[in-house]
Order: sequence, then structure tokens, then C-alpha cells
Amino acid sequence: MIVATTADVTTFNEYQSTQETGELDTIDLLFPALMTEQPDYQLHPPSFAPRLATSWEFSSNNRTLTFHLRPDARWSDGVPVTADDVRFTFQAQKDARVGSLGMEMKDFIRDVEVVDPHTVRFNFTRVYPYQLMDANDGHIVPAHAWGKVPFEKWHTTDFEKILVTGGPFRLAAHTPQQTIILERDPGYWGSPRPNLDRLVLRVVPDMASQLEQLFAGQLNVVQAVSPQEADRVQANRDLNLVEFPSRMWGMVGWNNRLPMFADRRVRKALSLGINRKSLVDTVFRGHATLSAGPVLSSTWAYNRTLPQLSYDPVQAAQLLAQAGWRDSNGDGILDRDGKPFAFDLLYPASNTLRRQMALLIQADLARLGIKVRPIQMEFTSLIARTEAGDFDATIWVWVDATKVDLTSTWSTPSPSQGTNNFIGYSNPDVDRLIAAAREEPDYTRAKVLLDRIQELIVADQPATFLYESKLLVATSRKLRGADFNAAGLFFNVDEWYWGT
Amino acid sequence: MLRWSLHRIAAGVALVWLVATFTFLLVSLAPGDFATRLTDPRIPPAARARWRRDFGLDRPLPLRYASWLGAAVTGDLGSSWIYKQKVVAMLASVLPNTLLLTSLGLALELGGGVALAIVQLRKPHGTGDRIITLATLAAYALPAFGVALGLIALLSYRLHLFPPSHMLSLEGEMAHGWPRLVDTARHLVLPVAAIGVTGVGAVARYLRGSLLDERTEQYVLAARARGCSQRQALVRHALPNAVLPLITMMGMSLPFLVSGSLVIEVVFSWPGMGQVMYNAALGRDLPLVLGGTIVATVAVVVGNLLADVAYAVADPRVRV
Repeated sequence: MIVATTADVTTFNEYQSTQETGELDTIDLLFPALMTEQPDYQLHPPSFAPRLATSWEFSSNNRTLTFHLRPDARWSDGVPVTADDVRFTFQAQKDARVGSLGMEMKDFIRDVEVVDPHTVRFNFTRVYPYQLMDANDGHIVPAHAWGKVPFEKWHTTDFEKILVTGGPFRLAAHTPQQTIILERDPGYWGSPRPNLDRLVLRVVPDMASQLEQLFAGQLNVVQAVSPQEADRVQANRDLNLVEFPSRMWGMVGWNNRLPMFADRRVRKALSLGINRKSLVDTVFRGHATLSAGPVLSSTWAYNRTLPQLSYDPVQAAQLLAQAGWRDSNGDGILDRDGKPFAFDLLYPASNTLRRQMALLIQADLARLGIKVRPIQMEFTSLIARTEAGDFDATIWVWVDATKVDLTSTWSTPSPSQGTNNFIGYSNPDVDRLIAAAREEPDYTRAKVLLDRIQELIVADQPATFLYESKLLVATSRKLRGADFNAAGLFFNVDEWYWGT
Repeated sequence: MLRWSLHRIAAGVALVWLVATFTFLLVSLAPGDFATRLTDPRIPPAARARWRRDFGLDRPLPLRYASWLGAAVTGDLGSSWIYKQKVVAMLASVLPNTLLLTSLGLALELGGGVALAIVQLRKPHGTGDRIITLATLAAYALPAFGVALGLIALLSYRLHLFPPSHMLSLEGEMAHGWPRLVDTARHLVLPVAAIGVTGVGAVARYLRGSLLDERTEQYVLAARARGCSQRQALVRHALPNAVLPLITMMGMSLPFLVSGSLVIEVVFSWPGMGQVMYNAALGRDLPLVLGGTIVATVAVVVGNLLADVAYAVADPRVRV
């Protein structure tokens, strides 16, 4: 089984990873985790299936979470996986010298106690809805092998040289920038064991080359086929195209701090003036749906009664006029206080889909008398400008976590906590409700708060919500048993097999 | 000679330092840094500020520069921020792959160019000359990726003669000795051809032009008068003189040898410098960018030195 990937794994140590290249999918095949998060978050927060832990329970005050580990779990070198490894992993996750990206997820876990080799206890400083998820975040790493490297050396250690794994697969060979060959670990203790003997990840940076090699039979799985290529894949008798909702969604972020976009009537007018339905259908060719608000429609937290704004240039023009934007000098462009309604729309240079969107938005808004200048930028420079608040508008894409917490993206930016709310949206009511929702342990009660938050944000239109995209995975027709979903490419890799 | 060598070495070191300093400034002043890309709702936003502290990005620029330079003069280029491996070790692992590809590509360019120019000069301005001129010009004008994709479509997907990408097949990666060498050779054909086809035109054009000039020089006529054949006069007498501008051109191509052709490496999934440097630049992986730049600059310095030496060998009037 040969799977295409655009980039090589940069490190096999999750806690040194920048998590950019999708290497966590590979790491997940090599390392154990306490539980496996299930992609069943449509009606309730995700549930968990046993993995290294066979069972778990909360204490009566919910401040202590105890996991019972499999007694037969072994690392690839035969050493048992024990509660010590779980505690060591927690120490690494929390240690500032390691600098793990997910460090803050462990903020409310005070410590991890070893009760006996197969029982481990997480002590929390507070009770909140995502205790199970935060305890489970991150894979367990081998204390006996990696504990020999002091934490301050982790930043500069090549962990491949001291790789000890504990997953369904182990690393058979790795040629940098070329190939990662995984083989089934015969000593794996979990069940079911994979059917596949070998799983090969082949690095092919160019997407067009990936598809050609899939057509030629040199690759068996290509992740993330672009919507333009979907028909060509579907027409091929030897290939299968699987489509499922991803957690990726796109919006036009208006810089709410600028006078131009400070008035919510203007922002609503912009949303009404862009033909979103036609834009999404044109660019994604049916492989994306319209987005209505800040929460993915595939999650339990989504407010199903949210109004979907329709394309209405007439109402848009009225709203703009109410806000004081008129074409007073007859040049075809709206103006207010002598300033024309003109702005730059930034998007990343490498992304053709977003270029198409920028051009369609430019055309739609030109009809309202708004001058849009689409500007493509190198990705890191683009983020640097949005992070600094130095932009007018940008076509932005988020990939949401399964943890529904709107704090970082929609709460008023806080300098001390850091923020992802680049557009500078600020509504005190929303802030209050978000803070209440993240504290509420009962998700049905949290849902009521989240519904209200979504109504408020949609009424404010700090951004124009565009689309929720679907992921397209192309596979050889001989691959059977695969269940592709947003939980990751290899979610049920144990059940994959070759058909005839 | 000794003074000359010392002088050249000192100038070379100064050049490497200047380029490295300039690169350091460019990358540091470019918008965004290594932590910028950690914008993902799945990553707590506080992680960005934390990484800036961890990698020293919050310190003032002069301080960062001083500590980098201090380590660099002792030969310590640090570790890549993305890959967590020693920069020197990383470059040492990818540089040979690029050198293999680009040196063969350049050799094809040079050999092919010389051969074409000689064929062309059998009958200057004849039909053959014109056809070759047109073909080489066309190849020179084509974008490298276009040639690469065309070669792959024809020779790999249609005729199944050569593999479309990578340095080794999966079987080849497991093999040792001869089978592995043969496998690498098969994988080299298309990328080397892609480099050669686009470059051969320039060499042929240069050489044809200068050969055409030299051909009518008196020493060539004299050689003819002594009874040399047209071909002998051309190859033995005119060619060494005509090759001088080519030596300069090749000296200038050395950085390409080292930094590789990004486009070719991406299209052919070739594990070389180009790809690594490109990702390093996008990710603002400063130690890796600087390491790669230094290697490329050293190559330029060495290249110029070699070109000078080659000049002296080819042209007795030049003495170092």
C-alpha cells in the first residue's frame, strides 16, 4: 500500500513537531495513546474508545481521572508500556524546555500519579467539559528510551536515532525526502492488528505529480485531491473517490478595527453583496457547502436555526447608503467623507482556489461600487501582516479542532493570552458567553450558550462566512475496508485490505 | 602565487561573510518568523509567544546576529528549527543528491552543446545549422518544468521507459550494490535530460558564435594551410580559444550545481538542496537558510577560482 504525502516527516517526536506537514497521522501509527477519539461529534462532543487504556473513571468530585492500562502493552523493543511512560509523557508535555505545541492543553492538570504499573491517575485543578480530551491529548512516548535525553536537549535531538515505537506499525526504513516504510509490528498488543504487511509513505511534493502517479498505478492513495481534478478521478475505472466533510472552513475576514469595516451594517452589506452560493459552487464544483457561522455545521455545537444570508445586492446597497457610503462624485465608486470605498484583499499566493474566490469577490463588490484590489502574498508574510493587524481584508481558512472553544478566534484579543482573533472582533456579550460556555461541564447546557454566541456573531458579521470544504481522497479501487473521515487518513488502517 | 592565493582566499572569506550577513538580515527583516505559522485553532495561541522566546526570536536583532556569528565562526551552524537536526548533517545528506543530478545535467549541457556547435559549423548557415539553431533556441526558451512534464508524460507514462520521480524505486531503496546503482541511473535519466535539454541551447549558441569568429582567424587559416582538415582545424585549434567564454559561463553555473534546480527537484521529487532550502525559506528556518546560503556562496567562490585556473590552462596568455 503506497500512500502519497507532500512532505517528509520532520521529526518522529510529536512534542518537537510543528504539526504542519500532517506528520501526526504517521506518528499516530507508531505510538500508543490512552484512548482513540471517535469522529462522532455530530450530536455530542466526541466519545473515546479504549486503546492503551482499557477503562477509565472519574472520582466523585470529577477532579481525578484514573486510567487502567493494558497489562500486555509492549514497546517495539519488548519493554512493557507502563504508568511510568504516561507520567513521563506528561512531564515532557508540561516542560517549558521541551516547548510542546499543546503544552497549554495541560494547564488544568496538576500532576499525573503512578498508582501501580498499570494504573495512572490524572489530578485536575478544576472541573471543565474537556478533561478527558485534554488528558488524552498527545501520544505516549517511551520513558526508558527518551528519558535518557535531558529535556533541554530535545530541541536539537534527532529522535529517529533512538526510535522506540509502540503502535500497530513500526518504522522499517526511512529515506529522507523520499520514502517512509512502515511494517506491521508483530509484537503489537492492540486489536485488531492491521491486515497490511507494509504501509509506504512516498513523498511527492507536487500535487499534479501525485495524481499522475496514482493514474499510473505507482501510488494507491492520494489525500486532498483538488475539486478541479475530482471528475477526472471519478471517470477512472481503477480508482475510487471518497468525499467527506473536513473541519476546514473559509471566510473573508474584515479588519474590524478599521473605520471602513467598523460598522456592522457595512459588514452585513458586504456579505449580502457577495454571491456566496455561486462562489462556492463555482470554485469548489460541488465539493463544499455554504458556511453560515463560526461553528462547523458537522459538529454538535452548530446552531441549526442560524439564518443563511442570501445574495441581495439591493439590500446591500441600502445598508451601505444608511452607513453613509454614497457615490457623491459620480466616479462609480462609493465614498464617505471624501474617501473612496476601496481596499486590498489578501490571499496566499500558492492557493489557486483562493485566487479564484478573490476575483469573484472583486467582481461582485464592484457592482456595489466598492473597489477591491486582490493581492497575493507569500503565506508566512500574509500571516505576519494579519497577526500585526496590518491588513484590510483577507481570505482566511481555519481548520477547527474537535474541541469547541471559540475563545482564541472570537473573544476580544487579549495580549497576555495570545489570540487568533486577527480581525479584531470585539463584542462584550460574546466574550461573556464564550467564557461561560467553556466552563460549563454539561454539554447540553453549553449548547444553549453556544447557540446564542453564534446568533450574536452572525448578526455582527465580523467576517463573511464562505464555505466548509469537503476532503477528497482518491484510492486504488483495490483498497477495501477503508473508512475515511475527518479523524485522520489512517483512522481505521487496521481494517484496510487488498481486494481483487 | 602564494600572495595571489592568500588574497583570493581572504576575498572569498569576506564574500561568504557578507552574503551570510545579508541573508541573515533579509530573513530576519522579512515579514513573519518561525513562530508565525503556528496559527491554527488547534494550537493554543500562547504557543506562538512561547516559541519566540524559546528560539530567541524576541531578542534584539544585533544580539541574535552576534550569537549566530559567534557560533558560525567556530564552524557551528546550529540546528534546523524545523527538522531538529544539525544543519551541517542535513546539508551533507542532501548535497550529494543535488550534486549528482546537477553535475550530470551540466555535463550533458556542456557535452551536448559542444557537439551541436561542431556539427553546426560543418556548414555554417546551411540547413542543418538553421534547424539546430531553431531547435536549441526553442529548448532554451522553454520553461524547465514544461520540459520536465513533457518528458515524464512521454517517456514515463506513455512509453514506460523511465520512472517519473524519486531517486530510487521502492525495491531500489532496499537493494545494495549494482541493482541499486542501476536503479538510481534509471531515475536520473529524466531529470538530467530536463536540465540538459533546457541548457544545451545556451552552450551551443555561445560556442557557435565564438567558433564562427575564431574560424576566420589567421592561426586557423594557417593550420588549414599546413594541411589540417577542416575538422582538425576546428577542434584542435579553434575550439580551445572559443571555449574561453564558456569557462566563465560554467564558473557562473556552480551555484546551480549546489543549490540545485528547485523546479526540477519538486517535479521529480528529488531529495536535494533545492527542496530543503525552499521549505526552509518558507518556514523561516533561519539556521538552515543560512547554512545552505553559505554552502552555495562557497561554491561560487570556488567556482570562480576554478574558472580562473581553467582560464590559465586554456589560455597561455593568462598567468595566475
